[in-house]
Order: sequence, then C-alpha cells, then structure tokens
Amino acid sequence: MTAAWVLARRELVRFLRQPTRLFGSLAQPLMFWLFMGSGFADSFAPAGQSMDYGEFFYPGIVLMLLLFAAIFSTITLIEDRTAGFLQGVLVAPVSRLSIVFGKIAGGTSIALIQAGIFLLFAPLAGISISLPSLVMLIALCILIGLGFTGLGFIVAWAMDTTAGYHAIMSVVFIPMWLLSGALFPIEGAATWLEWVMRFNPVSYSMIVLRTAFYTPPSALLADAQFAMALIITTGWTVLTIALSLFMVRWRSDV
Amino acid sequence: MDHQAFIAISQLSHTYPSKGKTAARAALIDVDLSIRAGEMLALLGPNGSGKSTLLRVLTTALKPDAGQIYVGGVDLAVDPRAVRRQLGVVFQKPALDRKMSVEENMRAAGQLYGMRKDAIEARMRDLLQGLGLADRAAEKVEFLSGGLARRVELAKALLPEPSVLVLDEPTTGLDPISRQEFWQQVAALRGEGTTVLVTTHLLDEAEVCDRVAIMHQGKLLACAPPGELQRAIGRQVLTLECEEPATLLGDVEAALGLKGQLVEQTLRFPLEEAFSIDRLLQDFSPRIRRLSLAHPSLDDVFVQFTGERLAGQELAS
Repeated sequence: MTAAWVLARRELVRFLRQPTRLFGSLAQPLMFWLFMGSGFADSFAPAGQSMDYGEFFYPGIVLMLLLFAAIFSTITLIEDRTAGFLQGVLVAPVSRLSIVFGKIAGGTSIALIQAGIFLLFAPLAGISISLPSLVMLIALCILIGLGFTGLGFIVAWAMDTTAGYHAIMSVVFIPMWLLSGALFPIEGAATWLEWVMRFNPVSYSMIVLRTAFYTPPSALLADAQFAMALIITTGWTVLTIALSLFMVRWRSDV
Repeated sequence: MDHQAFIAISQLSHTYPSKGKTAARAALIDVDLSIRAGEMLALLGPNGSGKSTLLRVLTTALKPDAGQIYVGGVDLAVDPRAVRRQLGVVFQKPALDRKMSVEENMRAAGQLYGMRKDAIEARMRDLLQGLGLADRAAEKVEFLSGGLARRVELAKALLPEPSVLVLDEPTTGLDPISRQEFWQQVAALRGEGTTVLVTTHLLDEAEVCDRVAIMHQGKLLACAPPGELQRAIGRQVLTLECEEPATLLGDVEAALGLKGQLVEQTLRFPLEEAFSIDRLLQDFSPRIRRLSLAHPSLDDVFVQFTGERLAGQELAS
C-alpha cells in the first residue's frame, strides 16, 4: 500500500501548491451559502422546518463541497492521462488496486480539509456542534467523500478530455446534488420529483449529514431513518469503489 | 525459443479491433525476437510499423491476442507485475509531474518501485550527478528545458536499477544537440550490463545499437547487427535519378545484368561485385540526371526489405 500512499500524498501536495484551487474551493461554497441563504431568507420557508433558510442550506453546502472536491480531484486523472504521468504509474510494479486507492484517498483528504474548514462556520448558521458531533460529522464526511470520489473516478477513468468530464458533471453530478434535499426538502417537492429524489443515492448522504448536525452521536443509531440512510450511503460508497476497480481492470491502457 | 535470451518474444500477434469507421488493423504479426542480457537493440520502423504496439505489450499496457513474452524468465502473461519490476521505461510522452520538483518526482518513482528511502537518496544523488542535473534537483520540472526534462526521465527510469531499459522514441522533439547528449548518456550504460531496447525512426540512432530489428506493417523483417544488415545487401548501392525511371530500370537491368528497385522515382541497385561504371555511363549517360555510388546505409537496408524509404515516410508523417 506504499504506492497508494505515495499517490495520495501527491494529490494533496498538488492541491496545496495551487493556491487558486484552495481559495476557490472555499470561497465558492461560502458565497453560495451567503448569497442563497440571504436571498431566500424571506421568500423561502422550508416545508415542515422551523429553521431559516441559511441554517437549512448549511448542511447542503457541506455536501456540495464534498461533491465538488471529489469532482475536481478526480478530474486530475484525465490530466494525468493526457499529460503522461499515468503511463509512468501504470508501468511501475504497483497493483491496480493501489492506483484506485491512492486517487480516492487523495481526493477524499482534499474534500475533508475543505469540509473541516467550512465546519468552523457552523455557528454563523446558528448550529452549535459538540465535540463528539464534530468527530461524527468528520467520519461521515469521509464516508460520503469516498463515495463521491469513487463516482468521479469511474467517470474520469473512461474519459479522454476534461470537456467531456465537464459535460457529465453538469448533467449528472450537479443534478444529483440539486435533487438530494440539499436545496429544498424532499417532502415539499412535487410527487414525481419526490420519487426521483428518493432514488437518488446522494439524498441519503444528505439525510445522514443533516441528521448528524442535530442529533448527538449516541442517539444517532437509534434513529431508524438515519440508520437506513447510513446503510444506503455505505453501500453506495462500496459500490463506487468496486466499480472504480472494475474500470481500471477494464481499461488498463493509456 | 532462444534460452540464452533475457527477453524472449515468440509468435506475438495483435490486431486492433475495428472501431466506428476505423477498420481493424493487424499491428503485430507473428513476431519472434530474442534479446540477450546487456544487448542494445533498436526497433527501426516508420509510424504504424508495430514497434510501439510491441512496446505496449512488453510494458504490460496491452494484452496481445496471441504469443508469449518472457522477461528474465518471467512469463508476462502470468506475472505482469514481476515483469514491470524489471523494466525502466522512458516514454515518448513525458511522464513527469510538472508541478513537482526533480527530486520529488524521483522519490515518488523510487517508492512506486518499492525502494527503501536511503537507497533512493543514494542512487538519486549518483544519477543526478552523472546526468548533470545535480544543481537542478530542487527545481520544478515545468521550469526545465526539453532536453533536461528528458534527462530527468532517464534518471527516473534508471533509479530502480532495472534489468531492461525501454526507450520509446526517446528523443522526439529534442534539438540535435540535446539528442546527441541523450544518446551519449544511454551509450554510457553499456558498460553496466543494462539491456536496452529502443524504438526509433531515425537511422543514425539505430546505427549505434548492437542489433537493429526492422519492422514494417506489423512484421519483423530482419534483425541483425547494423553492419551485417548493410553487408547483406551488397558492397555498394548505385542510385540513379532520371526522367523515365520505369523504362530505364528495365534497360539497365537487361544491359548490365543487375537487379534494381524503383523507389520514389529513384532507381536503386545493390551491387554484389565490383562494378564498371564506364559501361553504365557509355550506354545511359544522356538519360541519367544524377548518379551516386555509395556504401549501403541503413536506409538502403530498409528499402531493400520493405520497398519503401524510411526517411521519406518520416517527412510525410
């Protein structure tokens, strides 16, 4: 697993060396949260929720951050392929498994750094997080981040151009987030949309994350809805990683 | 199969399946090739001759349709990772992370090959010193010139002390001086017993190797030391340029008892014995625009085997 560690560390080093990437990855969610939270403040009362929109949207932004971090860290896979770095890794005596784990672990770490920083703003949203809850939230962010990075890996591995990846991002990844309950609750949506949302695996990541903001870790597993959503989220993460491995075996050329 | 061989390739065939409007293409057809330990072998051929496909199969990037490859006694089909462990590869396309420094690239490569930290540091120092890169070690690759970056690629490939160094058109895009320097460094490896396999479409690069394997349309046409290949086609080569090459070819063949080839509007006659140029001039001088008589080059060898010029193809592509 040394190889996976080397590759994951490279992802992190590259991320930290590009200050614009670091800045953008934090400024964008903050702006989204600020603009939409303030813009919808008076016109939007989430169905069945007593909170204001800024507070409702906050966990949704954390989810978006995890998704975007995963997207932008797996898009580098296409750059690695076209720039030639990947061919050097593929001829090294490393298992295909460590190539997948390296990329996914690297992407998830980047997502985690961003989510960690963003969680510091929780009090501004009117949410107070206890230390055990923070630990729980970080653990859940890792689980969700792994799933998103796995998803990004599957798509990026099959692509030859970043333009193609952007197209998939616009019509698949972003709608998955839009329809996850991050922007508006599932309960308030039109019936057909509600069904779409219930079939969206990301909706369950949203449930897991949202619940963990308000329920102490000790009480979480007793919450049936949370337990169910956690099972689905875990299954989704395992599935994306398994498919990533399959993809690498399917297309081992450069 | 040659049991002395360090790399033994037998009956290797591969066809790229048809894709959309592109028809299926046989890239390798029954290739047999044995390479001894410490030998330097050039795969010479134009683009599309199959040499790159051969390297892709050897570096385990591509599974061939048929055939076997053994590297250092390891069956590639059985244990591709053990084969990869023995190879150091320099690709045509750069394989360095441009955002990382020379040292960082080297360290990462060493770790991917499972080297110990202190071994990496020691070997890296030696290699960078030897390749004249010591003072650039901390610099990011994106700031290096093309020639220097190629040298880093070579250093990186040599870091894990591979038994076989594979170079795929390693000097593509380099200016003549950098190209020469790169080759001097490769030639210096000879004394160390490293087996070198290099693909090229440049004749002067192939000429310095122990043996040259000529590839054309997926087939291995010949494999021998460059001098032997040159001698095989005769002592000299007569080349004629003229207005109507097709008719002149027949006339010269009939009058002088030679056997020639018409290649790209030029006539070529490999000459086995001493040849009297007087008779040619006496009978045909009004019809000949230009004449040359020379020792055969690898280009002549290539023409002899394929009926095409290598240099001409290179310009066309």
